[in-house]
Amino acid sequence: MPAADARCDWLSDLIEPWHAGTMREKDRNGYEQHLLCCPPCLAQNDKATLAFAALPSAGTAAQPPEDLMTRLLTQLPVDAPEA
Amino acid sequence: MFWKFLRAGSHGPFTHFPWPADGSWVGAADAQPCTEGVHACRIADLPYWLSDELWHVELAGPVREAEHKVVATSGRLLERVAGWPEAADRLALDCIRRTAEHAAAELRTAGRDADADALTRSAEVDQLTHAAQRIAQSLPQPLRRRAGRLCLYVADAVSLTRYPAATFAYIAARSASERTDSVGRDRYREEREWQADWLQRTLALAGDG
Repeated sequence: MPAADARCDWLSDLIEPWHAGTMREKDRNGYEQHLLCCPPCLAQNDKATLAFAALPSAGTAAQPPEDLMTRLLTQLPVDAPEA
Repeated sequence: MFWKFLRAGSHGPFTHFPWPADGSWVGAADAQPCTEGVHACRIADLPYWLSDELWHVELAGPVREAEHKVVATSGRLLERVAGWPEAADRLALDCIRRTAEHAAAELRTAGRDADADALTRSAEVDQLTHAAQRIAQSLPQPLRRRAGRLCLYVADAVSLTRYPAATFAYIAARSASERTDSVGRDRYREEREWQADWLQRTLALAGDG
């Protein structure tokens, strides 16, 4: 996708593949060159970059205790519907 | 000789990677265009990557050539190129005038020589906007699709007062590509070549190598 064809309304669909590195070189060039021409799109990509960078830390929450499920099930009311 | 555009504060334009200004080497495991490695520009690549800071860089290892860039496994910043971004406004203005020239050329192709002359005679940017809008509105319907649109590109460009030089460079190249007298020519690439030559002359950049 040459920069001449990249459009602002396509940006939201392209942010994720750009960050994932799955775009073809030509498309990636077009996407990045569009960002340099378009401050609003560059700002949107910047926000997405920050969000993607924060994702790994969001996924490192403490692991639940191994017996948590057992304790929860034993504490359910006797007449509770089965899952 | 290679160059690299960075955002203010010497950060990568998209990754925000903080490039060390003390000349320390930055390395990557591999050099894959777009996804890995240190990317840099030859002279001809510069217009595609305009940003806040322009640096002269050194690359190490095999340098792979790609579309609009080169890639190496490591590189370092050598020195800021003097005169940039101070020259950015001048480039933007010259690109607006180039956009007007392309619109004028399209008007001449359409037999509207008087309109073309009026556009190219407009000395001040404000005059250019008014002339471009007036001409676009005065064109008969069949001409609005091409010549009229290029005139409106001129007016649009002038209205983008806070946009970076890259925007105006793109508009000029896009305008060139939409001229109908372009059979057998890649006017988009030619416009980018004009921009590269402008940067090399204005910033006194040494040749590639």
